[in-house]
Amino acid sequence: MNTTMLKKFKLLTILVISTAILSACTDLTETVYSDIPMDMFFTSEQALLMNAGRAYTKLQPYPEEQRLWSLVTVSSDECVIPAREDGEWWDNGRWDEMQKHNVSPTNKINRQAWEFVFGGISACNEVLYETESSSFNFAGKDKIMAEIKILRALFYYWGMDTWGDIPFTTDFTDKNLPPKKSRTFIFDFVENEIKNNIAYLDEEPTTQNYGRVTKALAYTLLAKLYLNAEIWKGEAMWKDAENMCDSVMNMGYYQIENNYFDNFKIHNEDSKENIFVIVYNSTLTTEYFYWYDLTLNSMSRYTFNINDTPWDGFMTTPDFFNSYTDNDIRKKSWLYGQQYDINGKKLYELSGTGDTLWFKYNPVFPESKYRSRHKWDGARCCKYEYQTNGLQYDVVDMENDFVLFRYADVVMMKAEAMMRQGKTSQVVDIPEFKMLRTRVGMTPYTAGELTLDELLAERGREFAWEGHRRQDLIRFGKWHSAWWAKPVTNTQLVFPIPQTAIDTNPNLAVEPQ
Amino acid sequence: MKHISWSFLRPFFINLISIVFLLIPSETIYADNPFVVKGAVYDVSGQPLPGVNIKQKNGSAGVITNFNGEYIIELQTGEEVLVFSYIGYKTIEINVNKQHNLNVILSEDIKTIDEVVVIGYGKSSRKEITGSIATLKSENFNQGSFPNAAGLLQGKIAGLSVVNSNGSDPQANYEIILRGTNTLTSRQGPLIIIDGVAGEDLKNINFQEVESIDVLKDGSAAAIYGTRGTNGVIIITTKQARKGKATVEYNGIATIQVAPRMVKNLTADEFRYAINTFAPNKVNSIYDANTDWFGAITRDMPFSHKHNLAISGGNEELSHRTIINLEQNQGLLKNNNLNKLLARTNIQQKALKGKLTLNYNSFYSMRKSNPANYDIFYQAFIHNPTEPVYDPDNRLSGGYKRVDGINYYNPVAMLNEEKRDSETDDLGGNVRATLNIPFVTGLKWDNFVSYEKSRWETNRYRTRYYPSAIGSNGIASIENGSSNNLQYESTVNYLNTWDGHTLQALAGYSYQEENMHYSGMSNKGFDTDLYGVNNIGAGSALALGTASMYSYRENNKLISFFGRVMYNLSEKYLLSASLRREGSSRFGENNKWGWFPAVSLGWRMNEESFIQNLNWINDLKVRLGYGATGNQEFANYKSLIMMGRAGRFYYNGEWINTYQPVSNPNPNLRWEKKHEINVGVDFSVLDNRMGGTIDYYLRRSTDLLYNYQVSVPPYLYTEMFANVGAIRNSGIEITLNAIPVRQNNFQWNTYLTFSSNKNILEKFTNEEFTNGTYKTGWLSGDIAVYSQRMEEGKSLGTFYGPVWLGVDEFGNDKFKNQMPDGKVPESKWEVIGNAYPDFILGWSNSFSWKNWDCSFALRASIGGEVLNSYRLYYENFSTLGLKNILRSQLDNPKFTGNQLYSSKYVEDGSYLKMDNFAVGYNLKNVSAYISNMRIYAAAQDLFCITGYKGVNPEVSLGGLQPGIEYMSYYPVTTGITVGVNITF
Repeated sequence: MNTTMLKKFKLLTILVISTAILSACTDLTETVYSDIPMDMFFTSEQALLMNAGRAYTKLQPYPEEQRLWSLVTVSSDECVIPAREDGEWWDNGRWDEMQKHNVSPTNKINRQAWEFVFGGISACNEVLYETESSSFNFAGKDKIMAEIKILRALFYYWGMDTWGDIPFTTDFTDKNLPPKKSRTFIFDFVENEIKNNIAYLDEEPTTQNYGRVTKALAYTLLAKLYLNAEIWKGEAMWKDAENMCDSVMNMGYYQIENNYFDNFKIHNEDSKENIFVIVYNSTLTTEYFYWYDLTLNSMSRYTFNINDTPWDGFMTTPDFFNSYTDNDIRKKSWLYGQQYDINGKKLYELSGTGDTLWFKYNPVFPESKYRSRHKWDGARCCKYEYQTNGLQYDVVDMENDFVLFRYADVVMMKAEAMMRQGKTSQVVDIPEFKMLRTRVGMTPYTAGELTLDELLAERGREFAWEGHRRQDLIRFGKWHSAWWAKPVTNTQLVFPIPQTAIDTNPNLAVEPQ
Repeated sequence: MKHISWSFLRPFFINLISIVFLLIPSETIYADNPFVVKGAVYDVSGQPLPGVNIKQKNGSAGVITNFNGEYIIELQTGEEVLVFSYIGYKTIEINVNKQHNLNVILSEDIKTIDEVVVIGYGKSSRKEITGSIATLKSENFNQGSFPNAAGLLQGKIAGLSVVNSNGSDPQANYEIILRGTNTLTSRQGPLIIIDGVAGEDLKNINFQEVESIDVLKDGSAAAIYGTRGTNGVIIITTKQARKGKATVEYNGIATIQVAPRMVKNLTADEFRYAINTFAPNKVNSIYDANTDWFGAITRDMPFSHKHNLAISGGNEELSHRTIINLEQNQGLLKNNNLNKLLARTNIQQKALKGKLTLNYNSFYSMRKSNPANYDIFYQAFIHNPTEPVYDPDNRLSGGYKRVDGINYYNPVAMLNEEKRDSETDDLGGNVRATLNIPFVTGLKWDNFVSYEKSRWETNRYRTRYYPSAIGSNGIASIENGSSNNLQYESTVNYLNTWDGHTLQALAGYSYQEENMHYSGMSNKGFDTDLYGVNNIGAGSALALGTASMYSYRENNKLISFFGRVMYNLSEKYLLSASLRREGSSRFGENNKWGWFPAVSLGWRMNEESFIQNLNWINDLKVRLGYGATGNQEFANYKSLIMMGRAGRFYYNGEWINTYQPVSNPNPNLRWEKKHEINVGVDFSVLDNRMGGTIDYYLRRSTDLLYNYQVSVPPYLYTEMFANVGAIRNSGIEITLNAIPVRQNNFQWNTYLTFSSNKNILEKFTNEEFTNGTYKTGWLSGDIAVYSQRMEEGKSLGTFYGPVWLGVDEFGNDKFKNQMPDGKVPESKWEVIGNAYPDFILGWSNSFSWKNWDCSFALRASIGGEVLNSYRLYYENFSTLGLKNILRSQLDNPKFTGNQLYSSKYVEDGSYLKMDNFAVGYNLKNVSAYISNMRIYAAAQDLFCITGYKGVNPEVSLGGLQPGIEYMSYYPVTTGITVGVNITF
């Protein structure tokens, strides 16, 4: 090469190197290591399923201490949280608000229940939008979209039941604040949504679709809707409710289990009675289902080998406890009397003076102790079997799947719908209905015994702490009655919309459109 | 007789008389050629002055005094004039007058205008600067022992709030805030530059090695640092290599801590009395023992010692300074220790005939500690004093007394049954090469490269008896992490003077990159506690699927181009202008780069004729500056949309992971911008015996980042991190220093700082984002309310609550607007206080007399309220029983109601603290090897005068919930230190 070319070559090299250095000198692109940038997602069936599954995970917080389940259950007559004599659980009166039907818009549990419901709705809207927009097609796409739509309908059902007129939106891309819609509107939406999508769902319950929306759930939800139509829509629809129950019963896939507690045991996934559950895994879905901490006294940890010190809060009221007769197997849903350790020895405590104090839960205690109960007062819940491998909040939580809807409820709803149509005499002959009583050691009802009040009481005993009691009390007109530590009231057939929701969306402060 | 005033002649006479007085008549007659003069040079207090320059006025002879201040010089005749000069002292000329022995006294020439001030990327003199820059030299540092160098300037810089809310924790961090709170979510600490490395950690230097600290306070001075300049810039210069004979210095300090400040709760007898009298239904809570829980968890007299050895020396071509620093610190809490080892060396080298200067620094530091669990102090406070510490019959709890309660744990068990270890290693080095460009005088090219790497490991093991973990059979966790920081800077500097004009210009480029990653694992269910964390796979939780592990990695970059011009005319009219173009990887795609300009003017009025006639004014400068800076200290990756793991979902018979967006994208994400105007006056009067500065500033920060609640839909995620708000801070800063007394051998220096700041949150919402969480200061547990609100038009840190009117005859609180249920609805809450003080004062004094010196520093904060959590939660009888309560409730038992938040618990937080008091004695020429020695004793945190009834009114003032004293605290103690500095 001659010198000019060499010079040019040198110049070129310098230029290239300088440009390289200069661009590196001003390069500010970010490298992300520990999260996934959105544009790398949504390109496969697995990705779409992982995204869709997210909507289902929004069910998991349901039975937490301060969510929807506790809001509707503590305000009913089957559960109470008295303050302990050392002051624990008074919590500035926020549980008392529920007890006395005086929940304020700033109540934290009310707000968190709202966030649970509307978080679920948002997730469903978003997942539906993303799944629809994705051009990727796979077998089962229609089914999963139908499932998510009905899951969303379930959340709206809860919203309508709890707060009445609520904000409504199904369009994820709509940037406006959702308007408030009346309960009737929501009712119609839920009804139509289910009817329009039920065809795509699975009919037979299998391990493949365990924990997901199936036809049986869709019919059961419609039955609930029609059963409560008189309250929610102002129009009684008992016959439709009965028809929906028949649809489930005629499928033939469900039956009443011989053992009541098989529906709630640790591995209850084999139950033929459960229709729709929230699936839990001891270690993979922690932080959601931890009733052992809510209801048991700290000493009960020796009974079940629990690692935590349970918080000793939730219990059933003395009146409710007394509604069980001693031969009712369902009475074993409650811990009462002498408690034993895991080896069967009686548990006790030594007092300051050396006396032996036997650890006994005292299920019936006077109302005067509502603000200062002894730590062992109150019958505690053990309906869901407690595993003994070291339960610990957020580390090893309950494996039992939480039952939202089961076949026994379908049978009872049919019975109630028929009774309200005047067909009580036919009800007492339904085999499943009779089995509900016989399997728990009780005699089946005669037509004379079976009044609406008695049905309400039986529903209480059957579905204790399953999240339906408040709805039942309202439907049977008993919401305002007095019960243990609650006077007669005339308030809060629906709970107030949380203040934070009104602050974010002023549409909620006005009448529904 | 007419009284003649000799006063104007006094200085001359004193010098003359001193010289005459000290003349030692000679008996020997020397030969005429050469004429030898010898003697010694002293300062006004009689100390010898080494390194004084002595030159023959009309000739070539010249010598320097030795370390004893002595000299010998050979002259031609005995009639020569000798010129004695020394930096910082007045130069004098003396005619030898045939004396062979000539001792001289030099007096100090205090001209602060010549003081060197470090500005961004260079140095200037106090005379020339036009921005608001405060300089603190080592003689004004706080005395005593500090966890890090920030303690040296607490109370010494007007406008800089330095708060230690960690008490006497050996790992205490200082919270440093300049001129009020200027941000909502980003970091508030100033940019710290140590020997040129930006973003350094103060823990990597030993506070005894700091030579001087310069603080760039206003926008015009800090704008040269662009997006990191908003919170001010603290430039720390450590002691550099020194040419000359090799010196070895040793500093040793020993400290004991006494008088811990703690909460007054009930003793065992008071507890029994209280229950029997006021809560008889809780009689089951009385046990047999008398336990001092606080004493059970603390050391009686924690002891710490620190040693620093520095060796320096060299010549014009090569010189170095190397230090080794070793420390062992015991904390007040038992088992809480911190040990440090630090080695640093600085080497300066000249090459290419002095045209190239190289400055190398390298360091290695290792810190090993057993960190404190602050919750132990809280548990000791609430613990029932009648409970014994141990209960040998309780096998399950490991022999400790255990009473069940939510968040109620035996503090001695917490202390003994957990082992926490932490170790951090830092290694770093940097090189600065400065080349004087040949053929162009005044042009220099400077290149700087720095690389630092830090590694840490934190281990924690809780045994099977740790109170909140009983049943887990031991929990072990290990976390490892490392970070590195690379910095490259290249600047070109030009300086020229002609005809009374002086011009200094600077242009530069800077690149900085940080990487960080960490990972960890945890397991439990160990058969034995003997493994600790050292066999972490052996825990049974691993096989059960309940062990956990995690890792994380991130990276960010900062690139900038900058330039500055400083010009002055006859040192009378001064101008400085700078511009920086900076980009950060943290900003959104649309806003990666920004411009940061600044301009400032100065006028040295003392050079004007109308001022020059006023003799009492030595120096008077007026300055005006404007600058724009940014704040980019928020988390990485905030502008991107990211998918992260959500819960698990049972699909087709197996569990799969689900994913969800964890952030909304924000391509417009940008830095928070601050514009500031600063007007200042620097003055020095009365023969430089008194001087100071007065500054007024107005600063407005806009585009403040905050999380806003947004509706989902249309957004993907419920929060959006967006630039919306604006804050304004304005205030006055005054610094005064004076030498009120200086005569005989006694000198008194006094130093005063005053700062007052007003903060207003101007804007917090805009049309698009209206829903930020404006309630802050959450009070957990039974209180369950927010104590503060952010409101447009009001200051941050404003307490909102019910107004307390007293206690009624039933023992319940009375409030304004009280409802029948006893509470006040939140809509009727009023402003009941503000966390920020009205003004802050610092006053320090130092005295010297012959070989003795003494100093003390006071600091006062006036105004500002503190929420006293102890009283809020525990000054009542309802929690008595399971837990202990405050003694003050027993002194005033009229109140028997429930704990409700109100103005009752928001107290005036004004205080006066004596930060330190020190006495020292200096010895010179102690022996053949030891040239100087100083022995001193100091006491720190001596007292606090305040009306505040909690433990320490000096609470954190940063962030969105300032002014709350929380109950997990580390007590303040008084430290008594003895130390010795020896120079060999």
